[in-house]
Amino acid sequence: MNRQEAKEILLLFRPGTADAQDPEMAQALTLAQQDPELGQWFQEHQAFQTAMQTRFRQIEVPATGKLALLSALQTESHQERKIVRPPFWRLPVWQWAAAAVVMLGLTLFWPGSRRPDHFADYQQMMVSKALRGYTMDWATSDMTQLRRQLAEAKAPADYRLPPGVAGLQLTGGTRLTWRTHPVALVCFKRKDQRDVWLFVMKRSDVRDPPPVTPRLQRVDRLMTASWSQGDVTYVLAGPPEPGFPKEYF
Amino acid sequence: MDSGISYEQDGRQGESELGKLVDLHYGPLYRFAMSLTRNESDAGDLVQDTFFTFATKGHQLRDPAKAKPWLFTTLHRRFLERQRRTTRFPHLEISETIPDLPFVEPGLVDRLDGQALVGMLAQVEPRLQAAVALFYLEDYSYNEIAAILDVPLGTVKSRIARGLAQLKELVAHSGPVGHTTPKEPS
Repeated sequence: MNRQEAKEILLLFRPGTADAQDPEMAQALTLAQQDPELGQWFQEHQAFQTAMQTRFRQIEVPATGKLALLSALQTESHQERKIVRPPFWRLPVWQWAAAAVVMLGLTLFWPGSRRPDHFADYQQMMVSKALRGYTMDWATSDMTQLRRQLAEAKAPADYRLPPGVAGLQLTGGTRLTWRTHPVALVCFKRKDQRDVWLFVMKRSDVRDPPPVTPRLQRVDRLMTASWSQGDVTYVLAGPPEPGFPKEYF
Repeated sequence: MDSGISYEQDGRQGESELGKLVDLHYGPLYRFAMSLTRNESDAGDLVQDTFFTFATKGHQLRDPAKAKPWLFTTLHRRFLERQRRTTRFPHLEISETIPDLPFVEPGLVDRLDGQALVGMLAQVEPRLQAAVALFYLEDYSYNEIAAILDVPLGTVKSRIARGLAQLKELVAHSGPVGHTTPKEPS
């Protein structure tokens, strides 16, 4: 192993880790002890590495993030935790019969036992989509093109942007669904690179649409404004900051 | 007794195990996410997304010791998925030769803060960034980094070496006083 080869190996050495146990690394370390020039270079490089390692590990972690996550996970687990039951084929016959009677009764006499269909459910679901990721089907900065794509995908495309939102940078959009109803998601970026989402759905697709005047509400980790206009209902979501989303109207 | 982390068999135990995992790994994962995204909001989302994935699929993991690398791998995959949706990286060939490293004035790094380093890492070739971030943030072996990033060992070493060279160059040229990127108002 020559000096250059040793340098290339020692470049990857991290003080205080198991790196020294690597046989090649050990050989390069021995050479650094014997070769003064290499030793000098290694000493400087090691000081650099230690300082870099320390600085990287000092990247500030917001305390609120962990708390918000724990709270969100708890909510999620209460809503969606799977209940493990014996497989259906192991249920006794009388349980089958009882279950069938109960199911029939529920279907016939309890029409209110429907899945959540309130605006708040829709709003929560959309915020969750924004936070937990979605597939951006069309990455574009051209609103006309996006409207065309949404219309082709049978999603609401005839939406009106509030004046402030129209000034944001369009990044694209996608078609989502809520209880089989199509939802258009239009994505924007602000100058500070933070995302703003506009969800558009037909007003008649929800039982209790929001009023014409935007209603501001914090949902999960986002601030939202919800309003209706014509046969369209809107949810605008973005970072929970003072002024957002009032500044867009 | 099964030592695997279970979420289905015992919900309370699962929640508490998950809480412990969040306590233990939120910070390291956030730092990794921050070094990839350079944006507090995106970093927070990525970490949240990763833990949500763990909450739904983590029960498949039978060895609790593997939870940490699993979380890092998942976070990195989520990051790549998001990148693919929005950005098309130019394909950059990585040359095998590593340029001579510049001399970095002693104490120069000490004048930089984590935010400034994240800003500099952003200027390193995109495909080298994750390897460099893991190299500095965690004491993972190169084999472990290779597993997390799902690339061969040689590629990881080459990416780290080239990334370090670029980063050292950036630090060396950041001036004797050291530039710090102003923190984004939250």
